[in-house]
Amino acid sequence: MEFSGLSGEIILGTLGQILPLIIGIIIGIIALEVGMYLFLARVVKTKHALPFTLLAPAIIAITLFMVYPLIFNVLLAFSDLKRSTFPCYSPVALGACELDHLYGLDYAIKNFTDVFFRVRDGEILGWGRLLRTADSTFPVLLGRTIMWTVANVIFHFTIGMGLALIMNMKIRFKGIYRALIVIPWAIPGVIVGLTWKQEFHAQYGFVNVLIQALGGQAISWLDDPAAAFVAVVFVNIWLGVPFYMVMLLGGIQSIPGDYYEASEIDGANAWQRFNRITMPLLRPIIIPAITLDVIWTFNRLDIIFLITGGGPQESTNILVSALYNAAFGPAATQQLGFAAAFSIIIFLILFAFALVWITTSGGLKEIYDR
Amino acid sequence: MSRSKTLLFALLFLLVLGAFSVSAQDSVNLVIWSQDGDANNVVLAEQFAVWAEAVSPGSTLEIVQKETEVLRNDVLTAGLAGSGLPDLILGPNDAIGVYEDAGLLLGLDDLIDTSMYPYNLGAAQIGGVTYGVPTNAGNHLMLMYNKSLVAEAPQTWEDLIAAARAFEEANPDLQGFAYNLNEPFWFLPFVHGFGGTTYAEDGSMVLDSESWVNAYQFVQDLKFVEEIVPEECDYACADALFKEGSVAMILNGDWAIAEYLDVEKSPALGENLAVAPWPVLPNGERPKPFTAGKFISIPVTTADAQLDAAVSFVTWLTTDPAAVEAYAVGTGRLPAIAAVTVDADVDPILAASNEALASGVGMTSDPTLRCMWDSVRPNLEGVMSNSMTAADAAMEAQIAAEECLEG
Repeated sequence: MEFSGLSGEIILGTLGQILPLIIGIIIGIIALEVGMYLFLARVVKTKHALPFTLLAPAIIAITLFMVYPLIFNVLLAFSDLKRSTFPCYSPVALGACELDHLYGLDYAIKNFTDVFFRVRDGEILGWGRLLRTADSTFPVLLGRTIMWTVANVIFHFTIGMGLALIMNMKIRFKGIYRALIVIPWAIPGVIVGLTWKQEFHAQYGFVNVLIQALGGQAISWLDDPAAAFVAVVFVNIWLGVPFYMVMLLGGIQSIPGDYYEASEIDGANAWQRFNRITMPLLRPIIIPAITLDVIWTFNRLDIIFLITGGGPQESTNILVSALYNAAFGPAATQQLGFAAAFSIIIFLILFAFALVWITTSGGLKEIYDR
Repeated sequence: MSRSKTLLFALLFLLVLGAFSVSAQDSVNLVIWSQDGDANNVVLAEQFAVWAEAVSPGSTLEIVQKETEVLRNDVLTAGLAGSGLPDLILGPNDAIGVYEDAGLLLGLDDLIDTSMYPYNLGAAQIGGVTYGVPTNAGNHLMLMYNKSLVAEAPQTWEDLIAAARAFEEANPDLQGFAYNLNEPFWFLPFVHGFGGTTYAEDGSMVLDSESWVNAYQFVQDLKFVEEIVPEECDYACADALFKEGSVAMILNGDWAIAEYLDVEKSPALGENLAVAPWPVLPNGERPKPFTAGKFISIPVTTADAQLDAAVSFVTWLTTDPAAVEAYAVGTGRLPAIAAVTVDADVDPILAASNEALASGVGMTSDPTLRCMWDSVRPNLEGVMSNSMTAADAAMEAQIAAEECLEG
């Protein structure tokens, strides 16, 4: 008897399960759209029946996939949901529920406090451990997260800008270079992480082979805390540069050449042209790009997870990896109520940053001025 | 209606009709989430086909392979959602305590005659209730070596160090010995060998004792004094080096045997594979690996005809002597029932694995064990990067475990 992974029969079987669902969704959406249009046009008699109808799918999707999870996350922060209380919250779990209520302010206070402090019997004993080691406290992890974010964003921007300026020059084989630079962006994060993990192997990895060939000494990239942090930052820089290059190159190419010609006639040198023309005109691109990059990098878990797993000695963990650990980590405690509160704190930090950064940098000034 | 519209509607009708006709089934379709590797899952599928032909013709088994952590998280997530759990779960026993704590497993004592499993059923029992039956005994680590590179298994660690050094001197580009250095599952056998345990007699967790310190010191010395292990090595590293013939000896578990015997997947191994018990430590004791085996559990959502079929198949797979033997030989793992024994002449690898199993320590499915794994890991990493002393690692692990147990 032979067994195969993906035979025609299996594909047909799977299609047989999926197709009715897809067809059902399509038919359902069409019926809803038609129904909504008829209701708005004939019952409500609004002249905006068509725009409302066309907007409805997007509104429903945003509500289902963004608003509802957000509200559910806040609700979770007001719960005591963890593995041992599953029987209280799961519709199928067996066993007695020992909680007298499922949601409450008392749980929320405990969840939010536990992110920062170790509390026993109402007394604060000090900073709480978010992981297992003594220095896995909130201030330490926040500091490391800021270092990780700042280092990444600075290098993303400077290298991305440099490459964009080079790609804007008249050089041969520009298309090939541009394709090569964009490759990291096109590779799935999982493959990037696992590949670079092997390349940072102390004995067999390409990085140390190169260092030794250049006369340097091999580094224990994954065993030494500082080296491991450098390794994950390096990989994330490598991954993030193409985003900036593409964004900035698009911006640079949209600047009219007349400005540069006029400034050259006035005797401006290359630095002055860059500083007085390129940078100010790229501002509407740079500010949103940096804002997005800060948020993405602050929350970027996969590269750290795949290359170091947060190690060695939990030294490459940042806030989101500690958050993931609380919810789905190897201790399997599934502290989902605590993790929800933790995620709200991370959200508030990023929200405050975005608010201050966008306001002070004037990134949206042009939009408001219109 | 135009011709194209007619064709479109006809096509849609046929697709819907086809879809429903494919999904309609008279016999049972079981789903199992398996933490086992592909090679072992094929054996499971073959055994199911034998059972289905005899008991329930037309039944199917959908095997979904999941890595250890993914399996555990997916079971808990589906359990919390209340839907999406499989009919069966196959995995190591230490996750059973987690699932049971979350209330997601059926007690099996009323469904299966548990007296048929004399060996390691305790590893799946909590509060006297059985939550899983063993598909095999073992899941234990042992010494594995490539006979074409090392003639015979070292009896002591002194022998192993000497053999690894001699091998590397003769083959400067190859490695004599490697294992998953920073993984606590590979470290605990040393702790047990030095007389340590995870739990004291009163049930408290003890990770800071002379035995633990000696074990940390021993593995640190293997790396920094004896220099016989790679500077960095995780599971993938040791496994890949061994498969390609770049390392002579490794420490690995019985789950890998089937793949190592397959020359397509392990070109340097096949008939060159040999296994042996752990070498004896300087104190005269052997390191004692954790043992338990893989267990099949039934989630609370499995019911009616699905439950009947699941119970029937699991009982047959784990107790019918012919099925147990076929599964054991196919997976290269030890049977979990007394009726099937391992003959060294028939299968020397299984016989040697059985010998290695004899020195093992049963692993509890108590979920608090996860606090031990979680607390030891960063401190073992500190020891293996030479940034922590053995004594400090033991002390820090104890503090971390106590905080973990507090919740």
